[in-house]
Amino acid sequence: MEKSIPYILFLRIIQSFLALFGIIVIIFILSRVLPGNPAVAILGPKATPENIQRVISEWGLDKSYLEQFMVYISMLLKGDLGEAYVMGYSVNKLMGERVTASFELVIASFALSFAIGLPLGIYSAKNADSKKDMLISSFAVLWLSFPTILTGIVLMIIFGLHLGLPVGGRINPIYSIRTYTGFMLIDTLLNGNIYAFVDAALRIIPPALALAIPLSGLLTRLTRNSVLEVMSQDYIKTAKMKRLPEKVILYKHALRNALIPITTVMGLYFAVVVTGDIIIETIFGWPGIGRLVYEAVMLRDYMVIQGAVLVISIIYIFVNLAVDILYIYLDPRIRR
Amino acid sequence: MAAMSVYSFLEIKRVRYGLMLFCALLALSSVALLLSPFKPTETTYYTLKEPFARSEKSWPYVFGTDSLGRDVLVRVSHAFFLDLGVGLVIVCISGTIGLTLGIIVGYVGGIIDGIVMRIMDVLISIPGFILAIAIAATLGGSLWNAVLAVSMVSIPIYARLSRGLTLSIKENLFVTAAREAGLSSFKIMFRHVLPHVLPIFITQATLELSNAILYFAGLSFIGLGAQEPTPEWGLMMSVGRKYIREAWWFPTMPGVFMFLTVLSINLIGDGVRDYLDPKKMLRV
Repeated sequence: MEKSIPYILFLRIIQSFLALFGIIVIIFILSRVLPGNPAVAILGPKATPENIQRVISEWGLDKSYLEQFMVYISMLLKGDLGEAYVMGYSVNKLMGERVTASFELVIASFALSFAIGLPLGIYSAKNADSKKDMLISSFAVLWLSFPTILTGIVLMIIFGLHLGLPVGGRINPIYSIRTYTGFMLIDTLLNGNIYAFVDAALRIIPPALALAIPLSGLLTRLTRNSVLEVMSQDYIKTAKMKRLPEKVILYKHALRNALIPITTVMGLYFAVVVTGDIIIETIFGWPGIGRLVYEAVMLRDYMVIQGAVLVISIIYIFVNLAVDILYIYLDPRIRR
Repeated sequence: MAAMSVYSFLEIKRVRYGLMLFCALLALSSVALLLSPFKPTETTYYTLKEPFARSEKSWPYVFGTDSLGRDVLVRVSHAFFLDLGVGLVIVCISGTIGLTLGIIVGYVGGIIDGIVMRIMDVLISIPGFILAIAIAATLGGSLWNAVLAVSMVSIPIYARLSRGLTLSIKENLFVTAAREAGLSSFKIMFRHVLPHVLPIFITQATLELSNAILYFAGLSFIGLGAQEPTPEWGLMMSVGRKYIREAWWFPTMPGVFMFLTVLSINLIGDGVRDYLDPKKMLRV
């Protein structure tokens, strides 16, 4: 029953596309079981008879469900998420501006969680079963139980009120920054405005930290266990018998292999981040997709919610696919 | 024997701490609800009073007051029962559906199994909170719609778990014997398979309870769950964060209560898992 790598990859990719199709079906079903007339729900307060007629013909709402689904699919294939009737503009335009903001925040939080979690985990493993190890492990569990909403509010109070640092939003609106990449930290540097860069860097830390805290808890625990497991392997014993220095063994031999299982749960981390992202962006007024979802809920713009859910799910599915492919690439035992 | 096992269950440190924490929260909430002179939805002119500020009545405002002059302690305590109750309802709904579905498709197998599990795969491949938002937004923001949304999102976890367990249990001799004895599939599933699925299922359900509470509070926070003036943690934090400068206690206290509740449930759940897993018992 030996399965070749291309075959496994092929199955995995098929699976991802099935999931994608499943999500489209779910969202389609949801939008058609909207209480009352779907056109009215989509339009919200702008539901005049002419508008309703327009939406009905545009979405084929007077035709059969199969035809409606076809219309929906063909729109999605064209990359069209529809029109945000309440918030104005098309959903694509609203999303496009926001995706990079969320992306920047997610990258920053990943970087922070690695900067916190990896050293703590390694340190914990080095002093396994000592008091320090116990302390770090209990903190890691505590961090995991910390609700994101509370973390966000507490960090807001600490950074904004006690330290008096700028919080909320991506950057102080007094700086006019020309957009090159969409990433504020890079754009401010490209503009050569060092004050704006410092401002942007200070503003990204609290929300990124709020997202990084549960992640670093997970990462600490995982790194610790993973390093401990690798350290008991035969090749480490061999390295020890060769009297290689402790540091070389730990960082060159052990850590490399200990990191493999960590990459596999990146998908899981990503789910944690995506969930927390909506809440954290809401609290800190970060203009990303999460904040967009919140605004759309407040304004009852159903099309935007639907589009955001779809985009987040698609990103999530493909991140998981990428992680699995990466895993195959990283672990030579699977490749063979 | 039963007394022995309860005793050894309490021997686990985490369970003991978890239970102690939970009982403390329960006691505090009950006392505040039963004895405090304040009502959770009664508004007064004493807005944004700091903790332990004097009031006209016999009690001080222990956790301060909110933007409408309501006592935060009483609201937070009320929310303790509300959120915990909602969490239990969610776990019961999704657990019952997931368990039944999992046992049936696991036992029957074949095409039904394939179809149901592929649907579950799709549901699991979307982050639960996002799907809950989509469902709750469709149904419209209200407490019961949020309960429904979170319940629907949680079904796949239970279905997968109980299906997997059923698959291994049905290979046992006692199931074959029951079948040979002429018992109906229904009786085998729910009289012979179910008791063996339940212990692990309950462990999972305990751990899911804290998730259910967090999801529900999250939905309320973004306006898709409980609505004003219902005392609910997520909603209180959502309103309170606008007053973060004037009254830190208003958004923070519900959060602290939620954190401690979730922590106590997680501690108990972790302990239950260790208790049922003899390999892990050695490490405790």
